[in-house]
Amino acid sequence: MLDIADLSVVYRGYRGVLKAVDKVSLAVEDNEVFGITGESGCGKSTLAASILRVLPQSAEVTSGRILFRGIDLRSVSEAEMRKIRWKQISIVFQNAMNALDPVYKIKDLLKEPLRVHEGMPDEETKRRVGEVLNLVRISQSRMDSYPHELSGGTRQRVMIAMALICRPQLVIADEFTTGLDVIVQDQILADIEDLRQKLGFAMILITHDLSVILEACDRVAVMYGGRILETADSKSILQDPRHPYTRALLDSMPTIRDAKKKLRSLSGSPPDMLNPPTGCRFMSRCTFATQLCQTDPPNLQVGVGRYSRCHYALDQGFKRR
Amino acid sequence: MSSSYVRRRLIQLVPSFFLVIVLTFVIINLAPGDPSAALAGEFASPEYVVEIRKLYGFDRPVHERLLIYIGNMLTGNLGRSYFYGVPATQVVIERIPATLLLVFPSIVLSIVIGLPLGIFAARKRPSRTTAAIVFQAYILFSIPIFVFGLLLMIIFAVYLAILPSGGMISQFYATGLERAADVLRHLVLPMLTLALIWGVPQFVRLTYSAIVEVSKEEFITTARAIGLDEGAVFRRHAFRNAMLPVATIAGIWISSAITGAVFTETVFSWPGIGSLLFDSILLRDYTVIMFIFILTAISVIIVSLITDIIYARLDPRIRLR
Amino acid sequence: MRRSVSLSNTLTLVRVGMRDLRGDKWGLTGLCMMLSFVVIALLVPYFPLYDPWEQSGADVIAPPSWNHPFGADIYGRDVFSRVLWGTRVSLGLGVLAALTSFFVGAVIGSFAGYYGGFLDDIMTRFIDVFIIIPRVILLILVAALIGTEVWYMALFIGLTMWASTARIARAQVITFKERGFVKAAALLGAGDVRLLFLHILPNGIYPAISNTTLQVADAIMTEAGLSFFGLGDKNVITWGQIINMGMLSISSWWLVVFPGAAIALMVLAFNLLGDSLELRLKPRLLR
Repeated sequence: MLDIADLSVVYRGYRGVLKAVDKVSLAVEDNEVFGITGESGCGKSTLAASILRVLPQSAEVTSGRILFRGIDLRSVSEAEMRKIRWKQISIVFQNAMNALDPVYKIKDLLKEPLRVHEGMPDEETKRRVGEVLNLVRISQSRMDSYPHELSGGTRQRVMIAMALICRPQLVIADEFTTGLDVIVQDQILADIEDLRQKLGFAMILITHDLSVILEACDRVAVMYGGRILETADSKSILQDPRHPYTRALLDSMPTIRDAKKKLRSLSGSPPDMLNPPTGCRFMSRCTFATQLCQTDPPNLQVGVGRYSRCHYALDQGFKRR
Repeated sequence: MSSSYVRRRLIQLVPSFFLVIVLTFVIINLAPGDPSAALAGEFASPEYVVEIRKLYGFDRPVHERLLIYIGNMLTGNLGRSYFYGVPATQVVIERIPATLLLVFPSIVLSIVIGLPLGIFAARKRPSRTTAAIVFQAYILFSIPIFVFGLLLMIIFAVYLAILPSGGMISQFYATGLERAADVLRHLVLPMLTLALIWGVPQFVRLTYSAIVEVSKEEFITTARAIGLDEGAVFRRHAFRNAMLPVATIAGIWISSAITGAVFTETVFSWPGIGSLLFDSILLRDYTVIMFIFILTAISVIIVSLITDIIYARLDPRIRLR
Repeated sequence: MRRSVSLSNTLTLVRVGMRDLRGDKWGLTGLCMMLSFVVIALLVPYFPLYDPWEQSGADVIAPPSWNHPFGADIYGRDVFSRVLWGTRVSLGLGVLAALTSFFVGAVIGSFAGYYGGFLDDIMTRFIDVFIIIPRVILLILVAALIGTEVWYMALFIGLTMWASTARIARAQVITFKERGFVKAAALLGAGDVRLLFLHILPNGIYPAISNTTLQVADAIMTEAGLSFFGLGDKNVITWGQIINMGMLSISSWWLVVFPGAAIALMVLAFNLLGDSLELRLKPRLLR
């Protein structure tokens, strides 16, 4: 349904050009949950925004193709894009407090997408709003509230409701559980899965929380330094990671079972995206790095629908040293 | 909207007024030498000095003086203007309408010119037009208002002689429409001066920076992502939120408007409070000066209260306190 | 520890302030203009000019000419020389007023923010009132009753401007009060005053700096207005004074244009500089 090929996005600032997304390719099927994970600053949100073409003025897409059901999102006119936004593809932002206009009531915020995309009579609009509030389990009495009057979890649900109100085919969820406590997070994820079954839409779930990814997603892409390092279905990623970074991420996850296992964290910090290093981005923090890694690793196919950007991807996986 | 908010703010008026009154008291008493002579002024007759001394209680110890003073304030008794021979309060109050006639149209003109210019500059950025507009605002803001007024007068009234150089009326016996037209002709230059130097730059800069700041907010991105066109994004979201900070500094704004009016009236001999102030300085008619200060200070405090209340109505985040 | 805190902070301040100066055309312009004024102010005694006090019966109200590039006033004094000499007073007074405002405001604001409670409530009310009352009118009252020597004027102008600095200082103190490093220093036994002035203030000072720069512009404008009203110190030369004379003899445009332009340029310089500093020194928000 969504096919991104070789997408590159940069930010132009007075300090120079920042390569936020570097030749990223991925594909999302109908009704699947596709996860994108990685450290903060690896380009995930920029990627999300570029799909809908809502990047800030300082950003520019320098190359690549984004195909949505055969439509080239990069070349359609702004007017066409506006029709696609929200109605076909919607997005749930991370920080609902800031993402919802504080001077409007919830019901008006929800009505807005309907106003833009569906020319519905008032009655119908009201009904839809009520319906979608039900779906996200917000009581109807909250309709006349303002965003600042609601709790974080409720606000997030409002954002989700907004994202679903036009029945899009693809929902991009950008870190939408960050800042919520685990219990609320769990609830919301379960609810979303429910809704997905009911309404039928695909989802791109962006989060740095690996446990969420592994639980909720069908397939995963691991992002680092603006690049996708590994793509695989979540089961394979957990059992047989084919990239040292993925391995390191898994290692840093605490599990209930191995309570005694020492947590191995990753030393160093993400690369400077103003002057990215040549060769493998992950090299400076990789325990398996060799001379060869100074050249850019190719995107190797490791299995059906599985890719890894590492010279050693095809060797038997990066077991703990 | 909660009336307790209004009530609270009204109560807060009392200490503010008190402060203003005490401030003037302190200043009077700081005058070197005999305060009653100082207050009466250089040109006063001995009888007048005695009158002042008795009225303000300068022959009594300080603590009694303060009480007498407050008592006088509350009954509106500041003493006579020795020049006009009638109570200072009366002299001042008579001139209020002329000042209002100058100030209100100027404020309106400033908003009518400044607001759209500010919006235009904000929406067109970054561009040369924006830079030009903002720079113009800076320049106008930096020219002293009396200089600008004098320049206008020199150009239009002295050299070109198409507009009157001062006062409010030239045709003493005109009535009705003729009188109105006469006043209007006299109003042009002072109004232009006040609006162009005080009002327009203020509004342009205010509006511009407010819109720029609001445009960085996440809910603006949400609005775009929903599929709204730029115009709608601006009208429905950016503008409403941008107007909030404009309202908050209304108090300071009014205060500087009054100051601007003082200079403008002086330059153009417009018979309002401002020129009265100037004349009183020359004549050393201090009771009048004092009352003007107290009157303007209290007016500003009240106006700022009103705008605060209006602001509270507009911003849902404040309403329910 | 105490010395290095303030010194390193000042250096950081300068470094941050100077950052990317090349791209900031407006700030740079403001800076250059201001520096030119400083140079003029310092070197004026050495310029070959007419004595600014020298009266000349022959040149009464002379329009600009080769002899008197800016013309002469009603006493026949050379306006060009007077305008240049006026730079000293304007600059000196503006800076003095702004500094007064800064110190008074910083102290009051800091105490209000630090101690909180009832004291804070009173102080805030006080600050709020001072911010909105029409300062020029207040100053007229003061000048008329108390006196108009130039240094007093600078002080008084400063004493009417302190409120905005106080607000900033208070907000900063409130923010920093709860920060880790402050609490750590408190635990180590630092007293209130030391905490405030050696730890909180050096870190929180940034927004106040741009505000103070803008206040220099404000002070210069205010003083010009007061001298224009005839309330300035008659023993020094100020631009407002010259314009006051221009108002009385209205067709002598040179008495208005030249000093007026001087005021406008100096005020513009500090405004540009102040706004540029505000953008730079604003704490960088995380994306």
